[in-house]
Amino acid sequence: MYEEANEDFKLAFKEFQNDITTKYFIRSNMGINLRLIGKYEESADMLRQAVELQPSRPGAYNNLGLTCIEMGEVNEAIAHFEKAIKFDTSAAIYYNNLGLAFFNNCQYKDAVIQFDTAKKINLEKDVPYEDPTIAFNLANVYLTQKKFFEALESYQEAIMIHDMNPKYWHHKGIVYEAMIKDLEE
Amino acid sequence: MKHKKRAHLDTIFTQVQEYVESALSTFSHVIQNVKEDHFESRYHLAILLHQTYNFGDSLQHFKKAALLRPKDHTVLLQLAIVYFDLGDYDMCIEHIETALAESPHYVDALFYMGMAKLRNK
Repeated sequence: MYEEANEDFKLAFKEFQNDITTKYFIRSNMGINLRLIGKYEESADMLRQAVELQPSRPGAYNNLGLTCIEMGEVNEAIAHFEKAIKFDTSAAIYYNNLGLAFFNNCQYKDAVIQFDTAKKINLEKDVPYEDPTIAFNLANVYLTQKKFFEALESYQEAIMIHDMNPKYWHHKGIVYEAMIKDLEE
Repeated sequence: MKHKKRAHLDTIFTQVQEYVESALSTFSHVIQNVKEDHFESRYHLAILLHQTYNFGDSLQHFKKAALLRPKDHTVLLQLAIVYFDLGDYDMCIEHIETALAESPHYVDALFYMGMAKLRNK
């Protein structure tokens, strides 16, 4: 399906070359699609073109950051997510992605700050129960830091949002296992 | 001094028991109420049951985990180790042979194969 979408994007790419905004969206969506089919270099190229076309739009920076993470370019990803936040300070997803990049880079304190900000934004927007992944990501950082009670609390928060996701429950179990191991040591 | 040390160890023991119970109930919840074929939870539950000497229950969960991933040599070995602890060395050897068929240089499996053959004499 993504391959088919890619062909459609290529056609659109040829047809609509005049309007900058249209060019931006075609390149952005093509970049996302290329990431989804694992063509990371091409995805990054396309998203860089999008960024150059409209440097003050945050979406392409965010997607370029996600592609950079897939390529293992975490520092570059951090820079792109920070750029996305610079142009839109109200999107929880950008803070979440920046948090993930910091987590990948073993910058746990920075990761916690970003996930907390993402949660705060959702709370302010009155949609706190929209996305359990922020709580889940935060819990993963706490677990890595051996902050077991905080991890339990955050996994529980994710469970309260989506109680039929086995991953959240399973990780809660993993915390108890880690607590046992920690005591045994 | 000895009493204090003993009291401290008792506290740790109680905490471990408490966490084991919590872990067991969490993994059980996943496979009973959320996703019956969730391999990871089934596997972790089986490991914990084994570690807490509930060999029969552990065996059942490892069997189901092995059905979910029949070519996973780690599960096959864990299943074999439970049979080993139950004293069923024939079944232990049978499962190690299957594990070794999947992963011929699996050192832990070779070790248990030796142990099982030794005990089975």
